[in-house]
Amino acid sequence: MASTDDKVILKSSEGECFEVDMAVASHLQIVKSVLEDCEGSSDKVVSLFIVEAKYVAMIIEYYKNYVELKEKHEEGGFEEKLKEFEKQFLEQIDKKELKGLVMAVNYLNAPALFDVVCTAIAKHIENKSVEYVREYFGIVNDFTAEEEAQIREEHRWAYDGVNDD
Amino acid sequence: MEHNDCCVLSPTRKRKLQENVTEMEAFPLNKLNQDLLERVLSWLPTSSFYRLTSVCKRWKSVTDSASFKLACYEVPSRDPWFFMVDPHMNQSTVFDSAERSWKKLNYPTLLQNCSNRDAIPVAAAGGLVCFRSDSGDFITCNPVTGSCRQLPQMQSARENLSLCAIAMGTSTADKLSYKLVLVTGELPRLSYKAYNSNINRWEEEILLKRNVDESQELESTDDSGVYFLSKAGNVVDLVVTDMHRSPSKQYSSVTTLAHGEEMVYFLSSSGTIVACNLTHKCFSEYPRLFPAFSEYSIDLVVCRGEMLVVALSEFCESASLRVWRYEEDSRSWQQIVMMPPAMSHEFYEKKVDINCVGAGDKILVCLSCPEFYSYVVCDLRTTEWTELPKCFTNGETVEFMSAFAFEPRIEASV
Repeated sequence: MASTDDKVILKSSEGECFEVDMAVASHLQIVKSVLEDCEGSSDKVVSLFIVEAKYVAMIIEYYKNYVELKEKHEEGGFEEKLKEFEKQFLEQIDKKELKGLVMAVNYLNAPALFDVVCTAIAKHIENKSVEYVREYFGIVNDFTAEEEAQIREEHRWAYDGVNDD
Repeated sequence: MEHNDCCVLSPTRKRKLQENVTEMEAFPLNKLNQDLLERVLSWLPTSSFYRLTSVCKRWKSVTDSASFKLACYEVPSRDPWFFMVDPHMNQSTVFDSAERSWKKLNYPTLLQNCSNRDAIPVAAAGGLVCFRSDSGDFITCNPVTGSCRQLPQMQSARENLSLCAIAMGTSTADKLSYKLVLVTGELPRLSYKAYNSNINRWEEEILLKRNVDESQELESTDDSGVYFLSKAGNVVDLVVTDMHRSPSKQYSSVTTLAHGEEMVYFLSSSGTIVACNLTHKCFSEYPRLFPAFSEYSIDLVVCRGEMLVVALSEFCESASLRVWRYEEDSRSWQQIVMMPPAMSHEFYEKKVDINCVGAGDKILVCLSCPEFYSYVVCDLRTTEWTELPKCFTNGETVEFMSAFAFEPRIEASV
């Protein structure tokens, strides 16, 4: 088992290298399993083929704080402090980056951040129109006009409040 | 510094991943895997989810996915919806506290059957609302999905004759099953019977013993014949011989689970608060909040797992609406929050009834009197009181007597 003093190098899709504490990198399940596969090797470099440098940096920033907060608030209060940090963390990410980040997090298999990003995306689209959501995700509407009208009728209440009757 | 990629992924995995890159660029999130899609959709407020099922076929199909329901189940809490009760129940009007808007849900087909036409909501828990028909049958319903279950009939009809309270609760272990509890009898002879959704059966009736310790400290219950309550516990006059609560609230009660003990609280016909401990099979009555003969309207709610009392009373030429908590140590009632006097003053001398329901940190108070209807939400955390907007149908305001709170949960099964 790797001790917390250990470092690992994460390589982005552009080839940029990030030196990270094992304690941070081990939160990425894919990195953990790759390192376990080649245990005994002295030089630890993990290539994250599809992840751009900016997302690697974001993910590292998140888990660095996660690890630090956890150490500092061992006695309690960790959850609240983490929530506070997550709020700040999400504020600096625009909606386009959010999409890139969720793909990266999903690929790296990082459970805590996965939930954070999923809730952020949900928050972003919750009050948006169907048309906006299609555009945001690049989804082609595969319903016929009749089918779509029928689906809307099924849950008409979801489209407008009673006040708009 | 040059690093050797000693830990590269296997070639097949690598090629696959590189294919993903091009796909990702072409369809940023369209190709996202099912788990990711379901997770994102599970975090959406329920109305947004239904609205977005019309995005495409794949998103629509998520509605029936078992893993999606599991993801929804893992969302710890949802902002409550209030299921509103009006005298002509043939619709499901809810107030969505997340969107702060009124919604008219599809009325469940089972409740449109002629035998269930007159069914009225009597209890709610988790994502479900329970209805009771004129003939005494119970139907549980998920108002969001419209799915319903008619509960098996009880063997004896006796229970319906002396029904004191109907309480509903979800199992704390898994939140997947629920229980309906009927408290029957007349003080001081009470018993209860529970329906368990897991086994789809009514369990044996159990007798509740009066908790002797506490009853000694209470005033005599002989004064119960002296005054009676109106709909929501509003003391009216000394000669009325029956309690006039709205049918939907007639048997209303609240349940809590503290220290592993299952409690059911309800207002007795004489206006005392009866606490039934189902775990220890006993009950006790709480000391009166107000002296007998004073005029007030009262209701019970449960917030954050604790039973609270909401009371509208009149004195010093004004009306005051307060929330109380019972302190076991001092055996007394402690006020925890009060509506600003300027706001409550308008209820003075109007014979206003209150019907309340608690959900999380919030209490919805439905105020009604011949002159007006009003709905106010009290947030216990911020101690703010906010009036809800009026509800209109076809240009006319709709008036509601009371409400039940539930969480809009697609996965809640009857």
